[in-house]
Amino acid sequence: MPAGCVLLFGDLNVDNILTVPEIPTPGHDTYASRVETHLGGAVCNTSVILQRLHQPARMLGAIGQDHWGEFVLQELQRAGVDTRYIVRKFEQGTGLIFIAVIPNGERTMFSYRGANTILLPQDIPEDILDGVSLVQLSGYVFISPLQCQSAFHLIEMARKRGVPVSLDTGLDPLEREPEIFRQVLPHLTLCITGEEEAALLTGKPDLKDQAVALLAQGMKMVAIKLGGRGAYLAWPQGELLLPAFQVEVKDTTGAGDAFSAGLIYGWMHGYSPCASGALANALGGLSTTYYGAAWIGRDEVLPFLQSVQRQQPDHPARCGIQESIQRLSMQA
Amino acid sequence: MKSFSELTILSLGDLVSDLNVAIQSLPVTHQGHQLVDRVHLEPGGAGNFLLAGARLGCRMIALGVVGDDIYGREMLEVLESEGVKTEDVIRQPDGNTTLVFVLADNHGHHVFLGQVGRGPQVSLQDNWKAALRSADAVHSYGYTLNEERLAPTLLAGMEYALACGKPVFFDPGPHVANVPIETRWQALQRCSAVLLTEEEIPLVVPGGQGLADAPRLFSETVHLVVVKRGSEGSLALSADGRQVEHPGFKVPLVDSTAAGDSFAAAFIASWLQGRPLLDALAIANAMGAAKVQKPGSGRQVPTLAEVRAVLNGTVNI
Repeated sequence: MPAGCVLLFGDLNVDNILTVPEIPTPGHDTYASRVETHLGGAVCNTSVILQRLHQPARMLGAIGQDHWGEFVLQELQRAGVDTRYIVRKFEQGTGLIFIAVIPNGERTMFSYRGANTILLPQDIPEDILDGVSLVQLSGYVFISPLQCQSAFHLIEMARKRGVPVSLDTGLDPLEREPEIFRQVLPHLTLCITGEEEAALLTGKPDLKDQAVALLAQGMKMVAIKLGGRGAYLAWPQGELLLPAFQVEVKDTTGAGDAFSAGLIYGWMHGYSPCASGALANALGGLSTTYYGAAWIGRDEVLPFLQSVQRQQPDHPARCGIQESIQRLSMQA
Repeated sequence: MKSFSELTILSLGDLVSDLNVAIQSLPVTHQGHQLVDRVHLEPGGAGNFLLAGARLGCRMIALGVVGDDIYGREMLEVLESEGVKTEDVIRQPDGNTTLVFVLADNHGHHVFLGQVGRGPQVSLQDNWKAALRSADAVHSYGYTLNEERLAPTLLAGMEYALACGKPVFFDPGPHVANVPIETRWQALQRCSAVLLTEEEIPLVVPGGQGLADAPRLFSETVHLVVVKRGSEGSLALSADGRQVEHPGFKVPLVDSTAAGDSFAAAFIASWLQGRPLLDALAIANAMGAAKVQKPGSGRQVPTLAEVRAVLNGTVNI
């Protein structure tokens, strides 16, 4: 049966990346050699990659009635994402992230969440779940009261219709609202998180114990991202530690979002856990070879996996690599 | 006397987008992540001048260059919403808008992260010439001499306006310090009035120290020098040796941003009305004093009613 669409709910942002020689002290100024404007927000990055894997994605979120909002819509539409359910608010502007990057690569971030935080339960129409086979949430939706209410409303809608829910926790939101996250866990089919996050969620230091604790909440799959070390996957019948693929890292922005896209794609399309993990790791790794969040998909990840297969036939994830290559190649 | 609404004032260059980001605390911690309560975009630079003139009721025309980007579009939209004419502003698809990110915390500390606009060279095109001819006065900033794509055209535009018999005001601003000396002279040879602060006098008068050297700005073209003195008011010197001083208005200081730009708009408008220099200075000082009582810039420049309130009937506008 062909998989339906993924509904993503999270922050819709515009990233403003300023390359500066230094962060000035109060009262002083500095000149940026570059200012770049990109589509941002975890779910935006994930949705773009899903679309480029030929997996239809639908977005729920709020933007302002400003040019940044126009930009978000244009970029998502350029990727083919269904933007019909994005709400435009006049009370607040589109979410903006300012990222100052200094020459040693250190990044300092300022986030204005704006319109994102005022998406209301009544902004979510009943038909939003038509044709949807997975709901993907960003952890950021749980840190503002109204948006959080809307997220729980959506979870309840999904439960009534039997649509599975997946969450990419993120560290920052989890640190802010650990209790809310513990309330979300029992509603999840899939949980994508990181090492520190899993420790915060479960109170356990060991990966395996963390996975066991999370699976005990009723999830079908837990993925713990380990950055440059790869990822740990656990499901009720098994577990797997997948090392990262060797790549020349330029910028890790959006790598976790790319990983999520690969994992939920594999899961939705009935890939084995090893193949889902291989695809997720490949997309995550590949995205670090681009500056900013990468617009990558099947056309980039398939040749990448093929070259890994040629160069490292004994790779620990070889079965998953083989399966991903076969299944992606079958896609027209 | 002409009313403000009968006057057309053109501002050439210095179109800047100020993005004000209200953060929790400065100094900024490296690698940190702060949530921001508020972000708002305001026209900066000449934008303050244009908005202040529009608030008085003058017809304001913006000429300049922006990138065809979000910052440029948002900024022009704000200007248009206040009645400033922007249709002749060049929007470069392959250029970018001059930007200033102002990070401000709630203790009144600021940090500025800027980007000078870049893009293809622009020339003094026919619609710009027509706009310059349609204006009663032209205002320009030394800051624009830093903008490579526009600097030669700024000079050409000032020269053209002067040749058309238009009064051309020039505000060198502190950033003129980064402009080659010869370029500064070229600007001074192409204006009829200079508006500046005491501190800026050495930047445009060779060997100049301060106020006493202001008359050295007079030339074949420059007939009027206006010195902005902040809370001390302002003074005007004309080439015929007259010197007029206004002490300013004592008001509580909240934020002096954009006070100089607002002052300039009010001075030029009042001067164009043909008012005595002292009245023009009083109105300009009142505009500046009304501004410093308000936080921010852009749409925070004073309204006509706020200027009137400061004047308190001493001069009627």
